[in-house]
Amino acid sequence: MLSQFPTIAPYRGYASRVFLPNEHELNALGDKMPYAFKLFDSATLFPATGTLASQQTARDYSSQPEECFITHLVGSSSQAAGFVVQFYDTLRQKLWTPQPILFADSLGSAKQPFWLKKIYRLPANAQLQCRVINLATVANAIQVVAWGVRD
Amino acid sequence: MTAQSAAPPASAVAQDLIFWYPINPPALTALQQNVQANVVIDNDADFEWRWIIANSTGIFSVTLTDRYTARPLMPSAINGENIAGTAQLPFILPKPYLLRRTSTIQAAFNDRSNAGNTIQFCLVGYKLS
Repeated sequence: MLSQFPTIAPYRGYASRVFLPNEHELNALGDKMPYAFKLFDSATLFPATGTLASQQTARDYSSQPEECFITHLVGSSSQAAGFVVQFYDTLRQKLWTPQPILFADSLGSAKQPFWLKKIYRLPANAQLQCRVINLATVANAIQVVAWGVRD
Repeated sequence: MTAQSAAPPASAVAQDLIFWYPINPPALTALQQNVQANVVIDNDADFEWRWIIANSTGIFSVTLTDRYTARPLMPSAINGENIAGTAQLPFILPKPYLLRRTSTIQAAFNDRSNAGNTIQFCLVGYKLS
């Protein structure tokens, strides 16, 4: 019988269901203010309907100045079938995923966000693009948000 | 029977106070847009805002603005599912955000449920001692 718990590396996430930044990491963000960087929003892309049509693809992006960082990703879908999503950083010229990923595998919700292990610097004066494909056979209200901080 | 002291112990006073600042907009009608509601931070302490918790009878979106700095916390309305959790699973801000005493957070709510919508939107954190 173990006399104590085995030593584990909490930064690898083994000790907790989700990664949460500690006080030291939060303090390192300095005096920046929390900010919701909206990466995709069918309500603003398609103001007439507020939705992405059945099984259609659309692109949206966020363009920010220097010193903006992402800490966690969230998204919402009005239809259970959901959507797939793919990100592209135009500054680094890198895709985040080789193919579009199911939203349940790439985004959380406000209740259970997908916390990044390391904060991600948003491309300055460039774009973080977001391509979304609606998987539902009906119109779908979709929003993808990257929460983070900015000056 | 011993007399009880009216003053709380010093250790309790020195502790930061967990505190909820609720925003209760008037009930939204179906698809009503841009319903404004404010909360003013009390004059007795600065507030370290850590969590967002909300409850509503339908889906909604909201835009928050810090009136102290006159800066919004988002470019346009964010869906409730992406900004607020529950007490069991609260939304954790990317970093604690200090709101100065007497400063105001302004919220503009939009109904997305196409029905009447009663919303309570809480800023939760600590009053700093």
